[in-house]
Amino acid sequence: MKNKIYVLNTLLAAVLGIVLLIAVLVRTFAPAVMIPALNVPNVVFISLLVLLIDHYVAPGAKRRYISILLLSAVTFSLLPLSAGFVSVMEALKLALVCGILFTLVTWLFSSIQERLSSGPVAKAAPILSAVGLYLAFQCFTGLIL
Amino acid sequence: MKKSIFVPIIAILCTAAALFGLTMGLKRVAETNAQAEHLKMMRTILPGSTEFTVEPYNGDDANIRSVHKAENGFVIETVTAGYAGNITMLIGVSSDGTVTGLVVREMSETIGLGANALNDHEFLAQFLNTSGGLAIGTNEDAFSGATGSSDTEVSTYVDAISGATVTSKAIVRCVNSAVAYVTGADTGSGATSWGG
Repeated sequence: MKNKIYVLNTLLAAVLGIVLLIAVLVRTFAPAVMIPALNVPNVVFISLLVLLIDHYVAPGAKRRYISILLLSAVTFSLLPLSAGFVSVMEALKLALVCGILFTLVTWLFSSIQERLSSGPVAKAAPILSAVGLYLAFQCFTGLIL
Repeated sequence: MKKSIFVPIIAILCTAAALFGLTMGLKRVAETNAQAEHLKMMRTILPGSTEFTVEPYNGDDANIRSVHKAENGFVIETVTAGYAGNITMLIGVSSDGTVTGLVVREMSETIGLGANALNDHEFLAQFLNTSGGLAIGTNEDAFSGATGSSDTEVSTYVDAISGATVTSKAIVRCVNSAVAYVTGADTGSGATSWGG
């Protein structure tokens, strides 16, 4: 793939789409099941999953953080709104919060796994980065709430 | 190179369109299933009930969202602030003011702590067959007179979920509000306004 810059956001749309598809089906056929909210830990989980897939699908892709921010903001607001899980105002809040969060996670992930990828744990660098970041955000969320 | 930006844009729009179409297509099925599940849940937490009618609630208790009247009691839907968001519950109260069942419907509490309220049977079972005036504490608090408030009348102490006192108190508030509605107790009094 010659141009890998936008693979990340394409994957984000696909992964979030699948997650929301499952949520819609659960809401329809198993209404007793409590669907997890799109909160900070869950958004971070989805973001890290997308980043891991992106690492293997488009390794070495350049990051344009402005594009990542704008496209992820649109993704995190439009898709839940289309699935009927949020109102318009909530979608706008999601756009702001999740867009910034996804961009931040992307920058942190890229920075950390670049440092690790040249060392003895190079093969495990993406997964270690993802796990470490997820745990860090869990703790961070617990501190600020 | 610039054309490549259209790929994620098209992906987002196609995914959104697909989700919207699916949601609209399944809307009627979802509503039917949700109503059936809601009715089943209410019958479970208020044993012996069959049909429910919605009673308008015009009271001052902000915890009460809706009231469903059955032939042998009420199922009250409550919403109150927990630790990380609102907690929505259904509480079955028989006509004599006894809690017959309760279930947490929505919450976003911390996983491993407050979220345990969903399925901590020991915690939830404490509320069964109670009649309001609940507070978080122990029997030793009752004997020592430690109620936390001079004008509070506490009839039963319940143990909180470990590490989730705020969530536990929120659930106690919901139960107290539900029982107070049925018994007609004034929620402004100490007996029902304080959950611990």
